[in-house]
Parts: sequence; structure tokens; C-alpha cells
Amino acid sequence: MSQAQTITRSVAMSVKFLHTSDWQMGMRALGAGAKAKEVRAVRYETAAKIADLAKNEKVDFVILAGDLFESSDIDDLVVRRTVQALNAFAPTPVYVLPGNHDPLVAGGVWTRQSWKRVGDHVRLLTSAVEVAHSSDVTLYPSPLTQKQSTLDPTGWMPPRATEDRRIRIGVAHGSLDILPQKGNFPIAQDRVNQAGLDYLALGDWHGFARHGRAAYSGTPEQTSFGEQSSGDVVLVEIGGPGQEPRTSRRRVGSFNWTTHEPLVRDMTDVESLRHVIESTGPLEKQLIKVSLTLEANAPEVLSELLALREQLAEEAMSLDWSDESITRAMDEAVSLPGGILMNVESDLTAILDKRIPEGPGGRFANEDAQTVREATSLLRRLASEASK
Amino acid sequence: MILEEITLGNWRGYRQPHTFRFQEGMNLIVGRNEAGKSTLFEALTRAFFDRHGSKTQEICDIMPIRSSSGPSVSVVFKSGEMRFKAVKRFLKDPLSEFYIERDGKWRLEGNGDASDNRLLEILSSEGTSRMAARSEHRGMAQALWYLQTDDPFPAKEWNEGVKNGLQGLIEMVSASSQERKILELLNKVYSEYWTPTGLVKSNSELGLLEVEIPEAMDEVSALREKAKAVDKYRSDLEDQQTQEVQKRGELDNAREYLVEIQNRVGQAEVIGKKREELEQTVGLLRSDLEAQERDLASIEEKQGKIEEMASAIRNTDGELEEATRESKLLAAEAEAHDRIWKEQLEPELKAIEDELVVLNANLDLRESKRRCNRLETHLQRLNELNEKLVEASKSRESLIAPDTKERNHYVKTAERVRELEVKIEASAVKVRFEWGAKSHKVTTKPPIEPSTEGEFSVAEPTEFSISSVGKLHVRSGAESLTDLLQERNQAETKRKDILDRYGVEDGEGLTARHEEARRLDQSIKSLEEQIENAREAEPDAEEELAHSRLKIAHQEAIIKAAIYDFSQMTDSAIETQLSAKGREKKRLIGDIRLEQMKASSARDQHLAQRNDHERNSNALAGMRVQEKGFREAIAEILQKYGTVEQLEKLATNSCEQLENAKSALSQLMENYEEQVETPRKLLEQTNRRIDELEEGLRGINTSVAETNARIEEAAAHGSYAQLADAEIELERKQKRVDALRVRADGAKLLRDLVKGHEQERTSRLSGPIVEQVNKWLETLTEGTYEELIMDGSLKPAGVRVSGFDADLPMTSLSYGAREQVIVLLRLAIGVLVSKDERNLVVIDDRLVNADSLRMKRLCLILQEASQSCQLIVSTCNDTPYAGMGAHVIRVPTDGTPQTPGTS
Repeated sequence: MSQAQTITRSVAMSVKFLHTSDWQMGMRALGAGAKAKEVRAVRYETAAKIADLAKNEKVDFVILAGDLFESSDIDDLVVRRTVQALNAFAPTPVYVLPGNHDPLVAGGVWTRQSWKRVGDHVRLLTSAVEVAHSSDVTLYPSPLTQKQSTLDPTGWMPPRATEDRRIRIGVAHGSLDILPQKGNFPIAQDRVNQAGLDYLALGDWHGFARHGRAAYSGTPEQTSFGEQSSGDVVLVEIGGPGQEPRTSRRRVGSFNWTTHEPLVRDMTDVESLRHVIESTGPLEKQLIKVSLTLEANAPEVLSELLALREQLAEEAMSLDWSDESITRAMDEAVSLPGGILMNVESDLTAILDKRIPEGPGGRFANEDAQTVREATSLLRRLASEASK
Repeated sequence: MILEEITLGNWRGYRQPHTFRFQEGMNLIVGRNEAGKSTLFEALTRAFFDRHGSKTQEICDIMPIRSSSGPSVSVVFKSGEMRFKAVKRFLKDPLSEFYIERDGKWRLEGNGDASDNRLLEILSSEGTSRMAARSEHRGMAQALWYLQTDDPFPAKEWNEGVKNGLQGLIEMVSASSQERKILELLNKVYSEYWTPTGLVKSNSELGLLEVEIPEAMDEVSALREKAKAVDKYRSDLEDQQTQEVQKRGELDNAREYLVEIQNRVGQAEVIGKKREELEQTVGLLRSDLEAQERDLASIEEKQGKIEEMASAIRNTDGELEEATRESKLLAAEAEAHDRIWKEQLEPELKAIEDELVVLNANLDLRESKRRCNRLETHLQRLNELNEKLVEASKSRESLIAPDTKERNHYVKTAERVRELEVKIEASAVKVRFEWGAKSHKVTTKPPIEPSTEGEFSVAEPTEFSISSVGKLHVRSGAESLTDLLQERNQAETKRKDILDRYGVEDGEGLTARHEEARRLDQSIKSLEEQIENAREAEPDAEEELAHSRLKIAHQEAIIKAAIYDFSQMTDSAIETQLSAKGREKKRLIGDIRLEQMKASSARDQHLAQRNDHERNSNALAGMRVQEKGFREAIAEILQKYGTVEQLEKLATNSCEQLENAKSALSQLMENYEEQVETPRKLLEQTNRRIDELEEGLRGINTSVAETNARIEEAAAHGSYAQLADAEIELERKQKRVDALRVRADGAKLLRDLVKGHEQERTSRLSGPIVEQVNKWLETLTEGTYEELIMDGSLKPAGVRVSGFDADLPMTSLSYGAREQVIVLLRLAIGVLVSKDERNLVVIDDRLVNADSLRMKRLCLILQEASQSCQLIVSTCNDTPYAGMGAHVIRVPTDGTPQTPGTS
């Protein structure tokens, strides 16, 4: 029987709080291209949703487990707007932990004048010392003071004393040491047990993950393609010290960044792709990336794909989908007139096959494959156009 | 296409319509220069290629001056087994008509632009340019018609017409409409990205992006630099904060140390006070002792001075007495000298001077008297001269006499009278009577005295009375004689008038008068000169006389008053006396001056002595006052001490006390440095250190504030988001440019490949042409050149020289050889395109530089070529072509007048 379980039996108390992290305010959103400004702006709306949720759920407090800000260098306007967003949580206490993106450094974001306007309900966890939220609940924060490290920031957390009857919550930012390779700020996977924690609120990973009593809330608003299980905050309820924490995810994110890599062989595959995309959410809230493997040349399939692509380009927030493979497939159906153009095409094919063409094509044997492919495609396209 | 006939009118030299007909084989157009050979070809090209509405300057130049209708040309030609006729008129009422022969009749197939287009198609011309007739727009004819104005071969390449013509020839016309369309589209795509010279089009999206990307990169780098600057501030801030912590630690340490040092300084204060007291005692004792020693020294010094004074006073007294004695002696000496010159020498001098006055008065009196006498004599003579002058003047005034001019006038007049009389005598009529038996008395009126020979000289009308015989009137007929008589009478009257004026009888009397007057004038002049000279010799004689008389009175008074009498002495004796007395006087004056100097010298010495005496007396008095002062000073010093001995005792005591105090102080000072100075110095150092640290901390705090402010400022500008936006934009542009570049490169590769294949096709076309040319070339040059080298665009690049395995570029050939090669090339093209149907080849006067041998060979080649195609060769010399069997057309004579443009 663990120490925590022993305590649970003898104490009757509970706590309810919101766990969030990785707001990444002021993020650059390079992946969003032309939509970067909207992607940056929506994060304030998401923050407001979290504040509303905190009030509606009447939580005892909110933990922001690192990376509130994208960088120490972010513009002052971002700090001001974030402070406004945090002030909307008042009077609910908000515990803010400096993460690897916004570490406690000289001249960092936390020393800005604009940050000093944050309300008293917001407490910046600046030291690795025990912080008593109340007589029953204690926080063990591990603020970061640099961007990278191979050291465990939670190493300082003291073991629970025998007489300790409080709910102990660790707050840290780093990579839980459960992956094959060591991450930045590695956190011992049995830290919860070592320090007798009831819950370890973690930040850094952008997707929700729970490992025993340790949990990542993930970013409340997705920041790039390839992130899984993001866009939520975690509502945590702990019945008492040693009791299993109850976590529930609440959707607050606005945008979906989705990547699709389908294999298309027939019309069913096209329909299936359409269904997946449409079921993800409203198109205008989606940033979509499609990378197609095309094994079809039926004109109706190709036309349908082009139609879907056009629709997404029209309606989605952003679309990254090259039509090259489709048009190439379409153009392949067209036949070339006899004469030099056929010779030209056979030269291009030879170059792609790494053969040296005979005749005038010989001197182009070393052309870049991409250029050769483009030339072939262009020839086909022109033939197709000429045949119309 | 072969040409059957051409008709042209109103066309340069061909005002009237001329028609020329041609054979299917060899045609030779012969004509001298400017006969209209090239005009025929010009008309031919314009008929086929110029649009009838064209009004270019070149066309305007065709129309002859004052021509009423536009230039017109009509051609009849055969193509594809059909006969056609085309009529064109330019400028005035322009027209274009295209006819086809059907059933032996011309039927109009099109007119206007349609007709123009039909004609262009005949020779595959694109016909798009205004300058349609230029060789590059002439389709096949670019190669087949070699006109005077044409370049040997095109600057770039043969036009499409030539190429197509050749393609057709070797059955390579594989360019389907589909291929052409694709190639057109390819060119369009290519030209979206590339310029004709293969550069990225600057106004294309790719070109613009290639310009924009470096700018965007610059922007990103600038923003990154800004971000770096913030990193630097942050790192500075970290350093500053480290420094602050360090300084604060140092400050705390320094403050702790300060407390410790302050305790030690408290103990040191006591010792310091004791030292001060001792130092004060030593100071007081030292100053007492110094005062006493000073007083002792002062007394000693003053006593010495008093002794010196007493000795000096004694010496001065003795000197004073001696000086007084000397002074008295000097005064007496001065007085003695004064007495000598005053009482003795000066009276002697007075007596001599008196004597000298009297002596001089005697001498002067004598001189004055002599002068008086001389002046009186002088004045008397002057009076006499004046009296003589008055007398002479009176005589002259009373004498009436001619002057020299008047006398000369008289002489001249008298001479003239005599001259005239001689002339009258010579001119007079001489009358002489010679009597026979009886002589008669003859009288004349006026009377004339006959000469000794009994001859009467008649000078004027004269009446001869000859006794009883009668009277004879004689008068001279000569006018001059009358004039002479008249002039003689006038002159005579003048002469007598002069004599009458001076009251004399004749010339001699007049001369005597004149001489008398001259003598008197000379006498007056002489007297006046004498008087003047006398006056000049003694100008103020009267005044001097009066003055001398006064002097005499004065000198006589002196002599009379004197005690000496020298009146009996001679002048020389007096002068001797004067000289002696003068010397005496000089000596006495010298003596007096000597005595006066001696007296003065003695007086000066006396005065100097007296001054010295006075000075010494004053010095003595001063010394006595000083001596008294010293004694009083000593008494004053001793007032404090009593006696000198008491003072000396007191000084000895003071010395002992001082030594004691010094010894006590030096004992104290042995540990003083460590006990007092060191803590004090440390206190001072620590305080300074604290000040420095506090100052340093303030500085660091200021720096921290500044750096923070910088960071805040950088953050305030929103450059983080700007950088993100700029990076996104740059990435977008780069992606776009990469995509465009791939497309552009693809288009370029495709086009290059197509071009390569096209070129290969073209080079394959040149094979048969080269073969034909080589055959002829060998014939022409007897194998010197064995092969024509063609470039990719079917143009001759050079020839291969046999035996040398070397290529000679076209530019290295002689002009003639080059022309021959070009002609062969065109002939070869002509022969080859005439495989199925004869085609017209035109060589407009191009073989003029061939030597006779080559010309012969060329004729053979032409003959051979004319088997396959229609040849029209123009020349001004048909001799080399004799025997070719060519159809010879002589211009303009062979042109049959005909009306063009009828169907």
C-alpha cells in the first residue's frame, strides 16, 4: 500500500482546478502562411473561453504549466493582451509557471512593465519552493530558468512527510521520461511517487497525455500540423490526498490543423477523403494539408479529385495541396503527334531513367530530375491543351 | 514556279509598258549599266510580295517624275501545271488582281488583299511586314532569287519559306498542325518566363520574385539583427545582475570591516591626543629656545656693529680735518689766478686794442680819400660823354637822309632808266638822208640830234621838216617801243622824285647824304655804349662817394681823439705795426683764458672737497645715530632677561627641557604607525571602498534600468511579429519562386530539346544541298575546294581545302570566290526544289568577278542547272555566255510595248 493511499483514508478534503499549458501567446505561426495573423489572434479568444470555463466550473484555481508565452522576445502588445486575458480569470487564482519558451531570465518577459499590470490573483511561480494554495493544497512548482537542459527540473521536489495530510500538486514543464530518446528538461517518470504527489500538472507537449497521476494538458489552441489531441484544457478533481485524480478534457480550441495522406485508387477513396475532412469540423476553421498517393487514371476520379481540391481551396481556412499529380495523370491520357515531339518525350523519359538519350537530347542527360519531370508534364499539358 | 512574262510600266526607266518573255530553261538578260536589268527583278519581287496598298518611300521612288498614273507590273507564271497572271498597280488607283487560266482564258480569282495573299502563298512568304519585298520576307525566293540589293545569305537564318520548301523536298514535312499548335503553346509558355535571349523575364512573376526575395531576405535579416540585439541586451543584463550581486556582497563585507576598523580607530584617538600634547610641548619649547638663541645672536651682532661704528667715526673725523685744509688752499689758488687775468692781463689787452683802432683808422682814412678822388673823376667823365651824345643826337635829327633801302631803290631806278634808254635807242627807226647834189636842212619835231653818220634815231612819231622840200612824218609801227618810252618816262619821274625828296641834284648827292647820316648814327651808338660801360663800372658812384665822405669824417674823428699820432707813418709801417699789435693781442687773450681755466679748476676742486666734507659729516652723524640705535636695541632685548648672562642661562635650561620632551615623543612614535595611522588609513580606505561600491552599484542599477528600458523599447515595436510575418512572406515567396523556377526550367528544357531536334532536322536537310554544291565546287575550282561547310541554319560557314584537311571560313575567301560559292549554293537549292517542278532561280549580275576560265566552268554549271530549273541571269557582258544556247533578252529594247492589267 502506498503512502498516498494510507493518507486518503484519514483525510476528507477535495480540490477542483483547471490544468492548461502551452498557450504560446505571440507564436509566429509560420506553418499557417498567409493565415498566421488569424492563427495568432484566435489564441486570445481561446484564452477567454478558458476563463469562462474556469468560472462556469467554479474551479479553485487554474494551473498554467509553462509556455504561456512563445518567447522572451515577443512584442509588448502580446504581453498586454495576455495580461488582459489572465485578468479575466479574477478572482480565480491562476498559477503561472515559466516554461522553456518563456524562462525566468534577465530581461525576460516576466520583468516587462506590461506584465506587472497582471492582477493579484495571478501568481508567477518563480522559485522551486513549496507554495501553499491553502492549508490543504500545496503546489510544488519547477520554474525553468533557461531554454534547454538535460537536468530534471522536478528533482528538487521533497518526498511527502509522513504527517503531511495535504493535497500535493507538482507543476512542471518538460519531457516526461517515457520516450525512447531523452527530451528537453527530462522529468523522471516516477516523480509522482518519489515526491508523493497527488497530481503532476505538466506542460511542453502540445497534445493531451496522461501517465498515471502525471498529465499533459496539451495546448488549448493547436499551433501546427502534426499535433495530436490538442485544443483542450483539463479539468482536474482530486477528492483528497492520495486519491486518484479525475481528469476530463474540455474543448476550447478553434482551429484544426489537419494532414491527410490518402491512397486514391478509385472514386470510393475520393469520397472517403471528403468525408474525413468534412467530419473534422467546419472547413473555415480548418488548415488542411493533403499529400496524395494517386494510383488512378480514370478521368472521372481525377475530375472528382480536382473538384474536391477546388472546393477546399475555396472554403477551408487554408489548403496545402498540389494538383500536380492529378493533372499529370490527366495529361498522360493525351497522345502526342508523331515527329520531333515524340522524340523529345522519349529523350525526357530516357533522362529520368538515367539513360543518355541519343541525338540532340544527349546534352541534357544531366538535367535535374524535377526539371525533366516538369518538362514532361508540360509537354503533356500542352498536348492536352492543343487537342482541345 | 516559273516565270513566263513580265510587263511593267510607269516603273522607273520604263515609262511605257514593256513586256519581256522568258523560256523555261536558261534566260540571259543583257544590257548595259542602268539599262533596267535590276528594275525588272525589282518589279518581279514587288509583284509577288508587296501589298498593292503599300506606300513606302521605296515604292514612291519607283514612279517616274510627272507620271500621271501609278507604277504597274503584271506577271504571267506557271505553278503546279497551272498558269496564273497577277496584275498590281501601286500608289495611284492601286489594284491587285489574281487570275488563273482556265480553258485558255484568264479568270479573276481574287483582287485586293485576297489577290496579294494568293501571290504571297505562291512562294511561301509570311508577308506580314510592310517591307514585304525584302529578301527575308520573300519566302522561297529568299534563297532562289539572288538580287543586286541582297546580302549573300541571311544574317540569322533562312526564312520559314525556304526551310519549308526544303523540307517538302526531302519529304520531311512532318510538322503536323497538332505539332505546330503544341510548339506555339510551348513558345507562349516559354515566353512567359524567358526573354528570347534566355534570360528570366524581368516583368514576369518569376523575375519580380527574384528581385523581391533578396529584399525580403534583407528585411528578415534586419529584423533578426534587431532580435539579436535584444539577446545581446539580455546577456548584458545577466552580466550586470551578476555584477550587482558581486558588488552587493563586497559592499556588505566592506561595511562589516568598517565596524571593526572604527573600534580600532577609537583606541587610536587616545594615543593620538597624547601625541598632540607632546608635540605641542616640543613645539613651545623649541620656539622659546629659538627666541632666546635669536636674541643672543642679535645682541652679539649689534655689539660688533657698535664697535665697527666707533672705529669708522674715528677715521671719518681725521679725514674731515685734512679735507678742510686742502679746501682752503684751493680757494686761495683760484683767487690768485683771477687776480692775474683781471688786474694784469686785461688792461694790457685794452691798450693794444685802442692802438689797433687808431692804426686801422689811419689806414682806412687814406683809402677813403683815394676812393673819393677816383669817384669824382669818374663822375666828371660821365658828364662829358653825356654832353657829346646830346650834341650828336641833335645833328642827326636835323639831317634828312635816305636810309639804305631808299638809296638802293634810287640806284635801281636810275639803272632801269639807263637800261630802257639803251633799249629805246636800239629799237628806234634810223633815218638817214643821203642827198644828191643839194643837201637840205633837216629839223625834227620833237627834235632829234642826228648821229655822227647823220643818222636820226626815231623813237617816237616824229615830224621831219626838210627845209623847202617838205615834211616827213615818221612813226614807229612797233608797239614795244612806245611801251619802252612810256616805261622810261615813268622810271625817270620816279628817279627825279627821289632826288627832289632829299633836295639833291643827283645820285652822288644822295649817296653823300646817306653816308653822313650813317656816320652820325654810329657816333651816337658809340657814345651810348661808353656811357653804359662807365655806369656799369661804377653803378652807384654817387652813393659811394657820399658814403666815403662820411667814413672819412668818422676816421678823422677817431684819429683826432687818439693819443697816438701815426699820421706821419707810411702805409706799410702802419701795416707792420698792425700785424705786431695783432699778434700781441692774440697772446694776451690766450694768457687770460689760461688763467681763467686755472682759477676755475681750483674752484671746482674746492667745491668737490666741500661736498665730500659735507657727505662725510653726514655719514658721521648717521653712524652716530646707528650706534645709538644698536645700544638701545640691546637694552630693549635685555629688558626681558635682565643681563646677557641671565639670558644665556635661560637658553641652556630651555635646551634641556626640549630634549626631554623630544625623547618622550619619540618613544610614543615607535608604535604609533601601527596603533594609530594604520587604523585611520584603513578606515579611510574602507570608507572610500564603500563609496566606490555604492557608486558602482548605482552605476550597475542605472545600466540595468537602461538595458531593461532597451529591451522594453525593442518589445514595444512589435518586431517579433514583424519578423514572423516577414519570414512567412519570405517562405511563401521562396516556395513560389521554387515552383516557378521548376516550371520555367521545365519550359526551357522542353524548348531546348525541341530546338535541338529541330536543328537536327534542319542539318539533315542540308545534306543533299551540300552534295550538289560540292560537285560543282570541285568542277569550278578543279578540286582546290572540295567541300562546302554548312552551319545549322543552312548557311555556308566555309569550305574545306583539299589536301590540307583544313576549313577556310567564308570570310577568308576572295570576294569573287565567295560570290561564286553563294551562287552555287542558291543554284543547288534551286535545282533541289525543282525536283518535282521547275522553279525560277534569279542571278542578278553576280558573276562579274569570275576569271575567264572559271566563267567558262560556271557557264557549264549554269547550263546543267537550267536543265532542272528556270534560270534568269542578268549581265552587262554576254560574251562569256556565248554558245550556251541561252534565251537572250536585251533590255530595254526587247521589251514589247503592251498594255498591262487586262484579262
